[in-house]
Amino acid sequence: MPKPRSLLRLCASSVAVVGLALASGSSMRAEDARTEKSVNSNGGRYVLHVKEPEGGFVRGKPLSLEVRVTRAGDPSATVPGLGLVVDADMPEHLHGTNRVPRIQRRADGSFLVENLYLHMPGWWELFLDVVESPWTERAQMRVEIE
Amino acid sequence: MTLALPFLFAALAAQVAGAGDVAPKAAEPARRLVDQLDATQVQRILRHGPLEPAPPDPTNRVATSDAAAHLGQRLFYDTRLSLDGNHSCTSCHMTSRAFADGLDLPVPAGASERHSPTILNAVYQRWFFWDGRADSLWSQALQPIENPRELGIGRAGLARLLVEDTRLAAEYRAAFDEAPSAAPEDSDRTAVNAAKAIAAYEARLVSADSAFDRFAAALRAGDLDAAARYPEDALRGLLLFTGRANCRSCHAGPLFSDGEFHTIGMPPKGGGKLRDSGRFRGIELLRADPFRGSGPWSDAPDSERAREVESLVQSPEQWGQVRTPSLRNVARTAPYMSQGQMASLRDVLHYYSTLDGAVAAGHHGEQVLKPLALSDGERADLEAFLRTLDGVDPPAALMKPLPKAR
Repeated sequence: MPKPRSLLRLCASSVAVVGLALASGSSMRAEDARTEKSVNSNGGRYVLHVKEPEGGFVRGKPLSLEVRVTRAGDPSATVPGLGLVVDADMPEHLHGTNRVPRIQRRADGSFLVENLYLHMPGWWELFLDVVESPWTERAQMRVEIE
Repeated sequence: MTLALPFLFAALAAQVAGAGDVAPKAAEPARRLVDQLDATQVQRILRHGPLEPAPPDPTNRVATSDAAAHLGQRLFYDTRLSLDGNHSCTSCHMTSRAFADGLDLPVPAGASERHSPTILNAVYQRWFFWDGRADSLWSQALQPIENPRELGIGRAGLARLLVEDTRLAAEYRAAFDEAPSAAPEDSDRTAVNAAKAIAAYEARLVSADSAFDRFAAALRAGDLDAAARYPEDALRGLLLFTGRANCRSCHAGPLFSDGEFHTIGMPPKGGGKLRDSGRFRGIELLRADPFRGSGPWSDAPDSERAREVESLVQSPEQWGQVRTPSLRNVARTAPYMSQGQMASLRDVLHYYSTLDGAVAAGHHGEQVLKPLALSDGERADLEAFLRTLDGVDPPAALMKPLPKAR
């Protein structure tokens, strides 16, 4: 707990205070800007908690997602030992993405998806296939790129 | 963008409110159209600019070097790079034709299958050639030098030229801090360096500041008076481009190209079905190219940019796909399409309007590629818009061969 005098000294340096506020503010905004969506897998076995790219889904840039998979009815515990396959398609265009996303399973069981590249504006369908042998269950989400 | 837009519209509103205080500086109809732009239209227009500095190419350590660009400019105009001694890079990329050649197919040393695109703003491209078989400006520059149907002098021949010509040798030393060598074990290195020098020159051939750019800048700044100087027919065409015609689907971003590969059912020259394998084979060629960004001649083979090749998808639907050309300077770079099948912008717009003669391709089903059924007026408006994408040429000193030594 800082003493009042220390606080005053901090306030005396307005540049430092503004800088601090900007730095912490921007860091918080960056953290908060990542929308998390929950998507049920099509077969109902899993819920996928998808943290969207910072700045949202945009055209023509490699995007990163974080995906955590829980069992339906138990949203607190990440399911360990799963596999994840990610792909994207433009249903109106009859084609997919031109690059293969990189997927890395992290120590806490969640996944980091990188290099998701959506090169055109329009409707993309994002496919997230959860692999838990012998099952593979798909979840999908609609993404609109302006 | 999200943060900027409220400010933009506040500025626009302020301008509209105060419009009666100043004398009109532009034709009223254009002003009315500008005033009527809605948030989505403005947002879509602003996505086409500005043309920021190009991303760096770490695979070329001399990409921004003045000395390398100087050598590159020297080589670009040198006809000794061709087997017959009559052709240079500028034979197909002519300064007088916005660095294209005005031909449907180039003929330096024999028939070539694909049209010469402009190299203005090529530094912004991610993949090079119509099929994207090169992933850097420097690896692109090597291929015509190797190809006997284009320049054809080859890497060994280029290395010999750099050794034997004392001025070139001196300029090479200035750029690379070493002497050129034509010894068998060194000639590839010398030739690759020369290609990197050509790339350093080509990277400076940037053309922006078009009428469209000025319009977009005015709109971004909320300067409606300046925005209203944009021609009315061009603005109608721009709204079609970003709206009903949906040209922006592929011609996206500040370059008016998504940098990716598509087929539009364009019938090949001479008729028949698609014969050009396009991107499908382009990916194979890129992966096999020892001069790719992740290859041994690259200056950053492990960089993110170089390793993009590893994540490329190859699938049969890519058969016949060609890279979306940039529309900047499009009015100056006729004819159009990968074999120059379309002589004029009017022809191109007629094709998109009717899809006359379109051939079946395994990509972009009819859900997307539909005849636009444009009226004569709409086609004229689109053409007027496209003509506002002509940019300012690069500095005059870059638009000509370097003076010869006395």
